[in-house]
Amino acid sequence: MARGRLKKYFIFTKSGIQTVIAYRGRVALWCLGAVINALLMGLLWWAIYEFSPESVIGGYTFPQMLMYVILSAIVFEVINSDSMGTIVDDVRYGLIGMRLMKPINYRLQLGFTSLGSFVACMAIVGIPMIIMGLIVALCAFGLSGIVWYNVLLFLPVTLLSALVYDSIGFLFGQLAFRTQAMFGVSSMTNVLIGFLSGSMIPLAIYPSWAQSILFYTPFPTMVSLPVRLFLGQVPWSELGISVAVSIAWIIVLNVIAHFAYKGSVRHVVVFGG
Amino acid sequence: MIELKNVEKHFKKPIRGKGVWGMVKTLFSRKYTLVKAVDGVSFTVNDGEAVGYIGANGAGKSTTIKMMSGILTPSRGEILIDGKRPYRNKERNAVLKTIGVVFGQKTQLWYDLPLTETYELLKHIYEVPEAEYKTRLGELIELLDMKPFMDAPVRTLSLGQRMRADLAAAMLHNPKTLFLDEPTIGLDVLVKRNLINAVNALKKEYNTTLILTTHAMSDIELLCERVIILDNGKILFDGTLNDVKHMFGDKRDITISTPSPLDVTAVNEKFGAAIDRIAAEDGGLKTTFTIDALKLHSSELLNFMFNNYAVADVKIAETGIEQVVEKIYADKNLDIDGNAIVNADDTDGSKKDEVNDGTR
Repeated sequence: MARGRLKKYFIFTKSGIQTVIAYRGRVALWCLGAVINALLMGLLWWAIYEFSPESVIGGYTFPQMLMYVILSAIVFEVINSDSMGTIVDDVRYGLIGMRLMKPINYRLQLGFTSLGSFVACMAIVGIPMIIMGLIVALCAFGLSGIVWYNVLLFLPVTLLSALVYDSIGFLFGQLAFRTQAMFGVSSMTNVLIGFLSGSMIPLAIYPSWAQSILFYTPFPTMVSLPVRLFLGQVPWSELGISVAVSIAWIIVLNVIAHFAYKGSVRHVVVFGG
Repeated sequence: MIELKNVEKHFKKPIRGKGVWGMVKTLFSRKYTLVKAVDGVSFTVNDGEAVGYIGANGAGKSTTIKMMSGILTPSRGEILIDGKRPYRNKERNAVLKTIGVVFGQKTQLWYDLPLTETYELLKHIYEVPEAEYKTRLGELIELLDMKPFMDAPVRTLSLGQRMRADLAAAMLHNPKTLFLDEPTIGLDVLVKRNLINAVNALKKEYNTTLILTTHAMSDIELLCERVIILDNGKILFDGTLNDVKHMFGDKRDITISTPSPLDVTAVNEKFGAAIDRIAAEDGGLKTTFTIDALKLHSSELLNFMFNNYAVADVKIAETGIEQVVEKIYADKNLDIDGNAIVNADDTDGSKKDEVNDGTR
């Protein structure tokens, strides 16, 4: 029964894929953004390794660090869900009323659309760029330690990352019902995620106490976990615990978001939005 | 059937102080103004009926539509759509499947997708069986002449195309009730006429109940048999289109053109009591008599004019709903058959009570 009800939401996944394809320019800019990000971070780390007496920093050799920055730039772009942006636009342009008039669940609609967006971005941008990055790291810099099963597992774990990101986006998006300052909220969320997920700097560089705390938060799942998994740095036991922690966070975030959303809808239906 | 029973909708607005200091005080103030956007509205709309729901800006039309379509919850009273309350979570989806909504200023289409995909989405959302979907979409494409732009992304459509597409989207699941909120706003004459014709055809074919809010009175005349006029959140008039037209009597403007200036003394002596107004133009060569057709037949006046004057040309115009509604909006303190309900103490267009409920 529930499966039947969920089935209709896959049409939104299809629409998410179509929307990504509809904007070729946007896809090109994403690619460019990821390349520039990876290039600058690669150069920065190259300089650090050049001037460091150590050849291994935070457990990474330079080729591994190079692959890390390439992968993290790609993962961060690919999992970047638009749920928060959609809520902001729907509220700002008064479309939220039209959405509420449809006999469907708004959260599931956005979630399934994000899933489509993730699939399209991963297929069009993610996988080709990862292959190119891998070739560069393997051939030019002698990267080692990449095994096929980790590369395969990378995809479902990145899907988990996208779900966590989307849940956080939907939760923070509820603020759009109460404040106009969503640009600030969005920037703050992105900086926070960038800093705590391992997108800006690998978490292994952080003090061990900070790493211990972060391990039980939803943030490392978003970038650090899939990237380290790809590089073969996540033991099976850690992977199991991390996946369990991520799933638990997805549930917790969505339960909180559900109640926050109910409050937002009440705000609209009682006060007129 | 749609039933509204003594429905009220209140909005709380904080009382804002003047100047910077006043605004700072507002941050810590708990004083609110209670604005009654809809104030005790009751009416029933039967299946297949077409009702024009009109009123000046801020009269509470859209708020009522939003309550009927489940976006807003009434502060008091009850709304039943086929016995179900659209604003109750458990009854909401059942109601939403039976209504279609077209807002002239907002679209329900997916901006980035081609129209065909948007309809495919709606088919799944409303769980329309495939065969039924194909038949109805085919009919709608033909009726609304949408074939040329079915594959175009919504963002590339013109306003006229978008409105037709929106109407088709609202009708795709064959709703029992269709809410149209200013559907012809911004449309050119031809597109407007085609859209109205299409709505009429759909209404006839599917016996759809129609609730139309608009400022274009011609739309009301072409689509509705009944009119509800709202003013300051209260119903000012509820009756047939014919009744509203004759709210101030059955008026006719009879314009007589004569080769020389007309002396109206004799006309005044004979029919003075039945003539509301005489206006002369072109130095008396063109004279308009506004008569009450219930007191004086146009033919009587015309016979008199032909027998006593050299009449060159005659033009007769019936007072339209446009003029009646204009008069209603202009004079809110009317007492029409003793039924007019207006807030005499209202100074800014909405009824307000100051409240202090201790919440922010």
